[in-house]
Amino acid sequence: MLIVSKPGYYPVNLRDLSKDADHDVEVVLPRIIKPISLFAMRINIAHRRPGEEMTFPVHNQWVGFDLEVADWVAPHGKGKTADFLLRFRNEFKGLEESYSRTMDERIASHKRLLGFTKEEWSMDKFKIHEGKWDGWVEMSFPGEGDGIIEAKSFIGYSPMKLPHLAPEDGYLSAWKRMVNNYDGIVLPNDTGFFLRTRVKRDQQGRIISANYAKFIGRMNARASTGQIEFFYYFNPTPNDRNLEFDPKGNLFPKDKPGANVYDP
Amino acid sequence: MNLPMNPFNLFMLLFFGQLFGNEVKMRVVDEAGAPVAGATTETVFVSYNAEKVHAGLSYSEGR
Repeated sequence: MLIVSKPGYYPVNLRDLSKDADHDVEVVLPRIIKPISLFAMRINIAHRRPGEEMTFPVHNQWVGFDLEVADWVAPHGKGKTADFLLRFRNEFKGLEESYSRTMDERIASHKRLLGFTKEEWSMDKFKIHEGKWDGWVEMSFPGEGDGIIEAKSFIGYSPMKLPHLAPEDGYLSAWKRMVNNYDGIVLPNDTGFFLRTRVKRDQQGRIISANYAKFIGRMNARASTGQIEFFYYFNPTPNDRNLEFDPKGNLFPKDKPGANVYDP
Repeated sequence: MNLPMNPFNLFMLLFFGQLFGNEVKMRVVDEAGAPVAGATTETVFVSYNAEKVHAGLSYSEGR
């Protein structure tokens, strides 16, 4: 493990250097420039208890998400302003094959599992538990000029993985991804995204106000349930593209599930 | 290893040669690509019974 540090820079930690090979590496040590308070949130990624998971409230319909509240917009949640819209749909592709258990044994096993939480068994729950599913997540935006753009660089070994500032332009008005729970392919999560939301324009169409956010990794959803996962930082100050987070300054309450964010 | 034998390169040669038995060349830059001088490097090598820590500094070119 190689640790590189210097005062005024975020230390980095390279774990993947083999001791059995020569290396010629360029190590990027991001500067500490201006860490600020932001809304930082891990939706469903860690430290959430059962019942605190965030799942699409409806399928096949656009639903707004408010980054400042970390919730769906009303009537599906407590959010007030839709920073973006999401739509999820999924499709059952049959049950997972089992060569060692009969269907009756699988159902009995699932009933025992639900018994621990005193839940009623149903075929729909069984399909979710034992089924193969395809899912599709789409993102769009409520306003012209809002959008998403993939970051040009991602430093996976650094706590400061993305550029300090969101880009000024290049935002796309839509994004989508397909997921499934059966092919075993896991996309590398070594990327990030910037978002521009809440765009206001003057009479000539020029942007006069916008808010910026960043996603670490890709937005993910469980194909079987629509449980959504993403990790974001949102700057509530209009026109401030700075997304360098001060971990002591999370604008979410400390005890809010998912607000335990320590990376800048 | 075709490096001029200034003290730092000599250190690199000794340090990494002993630790890994292989050569590691490293250049430290900031997020804009500018060389970072004076960065501290530490290699922590953890085995089943020991943890060794070796340290060094990058020079003005970030190397």
